[in-house]
Amino acid sequence: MGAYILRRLGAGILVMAVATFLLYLLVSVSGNPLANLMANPHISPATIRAARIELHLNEPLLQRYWTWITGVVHGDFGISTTGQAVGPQVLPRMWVTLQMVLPATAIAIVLGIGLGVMSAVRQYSILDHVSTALAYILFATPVFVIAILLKDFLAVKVDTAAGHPILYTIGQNNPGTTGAWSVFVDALAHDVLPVLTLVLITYAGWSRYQRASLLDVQNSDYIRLARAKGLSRRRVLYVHALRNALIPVTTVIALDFAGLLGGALITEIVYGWEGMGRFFYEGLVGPVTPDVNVVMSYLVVTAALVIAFNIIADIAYGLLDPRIRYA
Amino acid sequence: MPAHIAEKVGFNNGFQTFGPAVKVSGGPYEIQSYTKGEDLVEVPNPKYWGPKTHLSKIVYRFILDDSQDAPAISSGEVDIVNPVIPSVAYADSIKSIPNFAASVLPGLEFQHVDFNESNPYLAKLAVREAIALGTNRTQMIQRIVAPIFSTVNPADASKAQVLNNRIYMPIQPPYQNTSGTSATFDPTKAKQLLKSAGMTMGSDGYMQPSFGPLKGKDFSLSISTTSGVPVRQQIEELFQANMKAIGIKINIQNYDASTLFGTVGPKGEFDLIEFAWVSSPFASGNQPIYCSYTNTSVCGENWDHYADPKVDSLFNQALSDLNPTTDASLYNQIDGLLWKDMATLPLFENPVYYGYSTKYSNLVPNPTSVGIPWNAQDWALKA
Repeated sequence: MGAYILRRLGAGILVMAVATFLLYLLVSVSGNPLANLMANPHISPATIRAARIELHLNEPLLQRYWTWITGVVHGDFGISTTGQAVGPQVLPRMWVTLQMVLPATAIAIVLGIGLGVMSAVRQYSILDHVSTALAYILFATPVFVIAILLKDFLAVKVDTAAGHPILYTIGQNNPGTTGAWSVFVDALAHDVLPVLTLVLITYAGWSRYQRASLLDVQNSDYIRLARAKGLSRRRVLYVHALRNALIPVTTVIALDFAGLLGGALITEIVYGWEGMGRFFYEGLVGPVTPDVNVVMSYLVVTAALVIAFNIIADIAYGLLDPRIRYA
Repeated sequence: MPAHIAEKVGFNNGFQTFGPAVKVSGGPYEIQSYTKGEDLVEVPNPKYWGPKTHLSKIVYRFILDDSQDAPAISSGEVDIVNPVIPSVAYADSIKSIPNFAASVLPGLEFQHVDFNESNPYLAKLAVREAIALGTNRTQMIQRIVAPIFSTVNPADASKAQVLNNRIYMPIQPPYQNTSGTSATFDPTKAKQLLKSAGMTMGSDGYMQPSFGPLKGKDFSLSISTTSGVPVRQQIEELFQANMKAIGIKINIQNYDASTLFGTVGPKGEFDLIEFAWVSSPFASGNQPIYCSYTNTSVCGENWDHYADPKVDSLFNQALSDLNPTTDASLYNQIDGLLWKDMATLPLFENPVYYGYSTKYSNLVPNPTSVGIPWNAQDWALKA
């Protein structure tokens, strides 16, 4: 198993190298970083020339990539066009995004798998039909629609009834809050709506996969044998069937994680959170379009997370499926 | 900026971000924290010499999208809002929130149409004058600006007025209507002017020039502005209809802001261009817009190929004049000349919208660049 993990990590690094190279090229040629500078009538051509040199735009593309990648390998993500170092911003912003994404992933996994199993076990019951309809509706609804509906029909109603804010719609915290417990409660109050938004759009697809996968497994030979042997329904379901039914869902969850980060991007914008997603968005539309160092920092982090989650999924296979043994 | 701090952090870059080293305040509040693009927190300045403030914390939140304002106000998270470009839809969403008031005031930013005088037709004064006389600016204001005023208070619709000066706004004391008869809406006179410039009315309702590249064809001009801005879209559509009535075919050709202000404008790749200038108390800032385009070092913002030596000399006089009264009269003379030359056509001032909670006292909207916090030391929670 150890050798397998090392091999996967090696492959992962190779994928990162190729991905960052292609992404850097694409981002660098996708727009004129000086466009908004040139848009401002008060800025003289001399200033624009100076900005061009400062942003290294006079250097060839490959040289710029080399400067950037050697910096990244040493942990230096470069400087954004506003003069601030990108690196020190990545971790705090990543922490903010994870405050939304990790609870959402955990809750969506539990909800998705739980509802999927219940639907499969009680196939065609009322629970199954209601759960199916709800899943399809939520799956089809765009992130920002759910976010806006939650704001208007949950937060506003709760807060006006209470007379003061309980559920927050803007920001990840109230700045200037002091005291560890107050900070925690404040973060929680700001967390509820965004996490709920992400959970609602994510659990639906996973519950469908889980349902289908469990139904598939339930009709297989070895399950029939287990029932024939006289094992209880509960034992057959949770010890034998579920373990195997989880395998396809694990793939889906691992691959979906990248999509979850994308959904988090929109959720961050709608709720005004200061996370990596919004950082990326501001790098794209901000004063300089695009701010290559900012955009690449987001893409590098996302790529690394996607690769990491895929490796975790593969390891999970090994644990879940006894037929798989890595050499 | 305080020298002793500039020495420590560096004059060039030290003040670009907020940090403990640059924490200074001479006023009633001081900045406690600043998170770029997110929020800025002010707390009372313990060393302030004046009366104590009533609030313990003011948080300025930078909200990216105006549509996020209404739920935030309803849930009690936000007490004052100031959207960049108010719209009727925005004002309506705020109107129904209890304990929340709104005000709309004319601001210091104004929309205008510029003529590119390198176009052989727009080079003729008569053609430019005709376009100005054919533009129904009152109608534009009634359709576009007045509705924003009336969502707050129907009686306020009259506050939206036509702008007749490029250098001073009506809320500034030196403001004078310097337009004479150049801009009163008169489509009949406009058509006569076009004919005197060598055009004849064609059978399809459009004028046909007897000279130049469009000889014998419909007289058409293109107008450009930033794409995706509803107010500007509405201005162009009304303008197009006005021009059709006097026989000019207008093609609307919009670009994104970076292209419009990056290449199209500065390179003069337009016939007519519509955008906004921000006015300030310092009228000298107008010189680079209206002085002769041949002077490339000073007049970089003159994209219209416009030149008038009388305007240049008046600017030079005004810039060296330190007396505000004679100063103002010189600038108004300049504006009068700009009308006679029909260099540009001012349309209207952009309205400035403030929404504020009635739970606090002494919140007084201010449409200048200082904004509503101008008297933050007087803000207090009502008992």
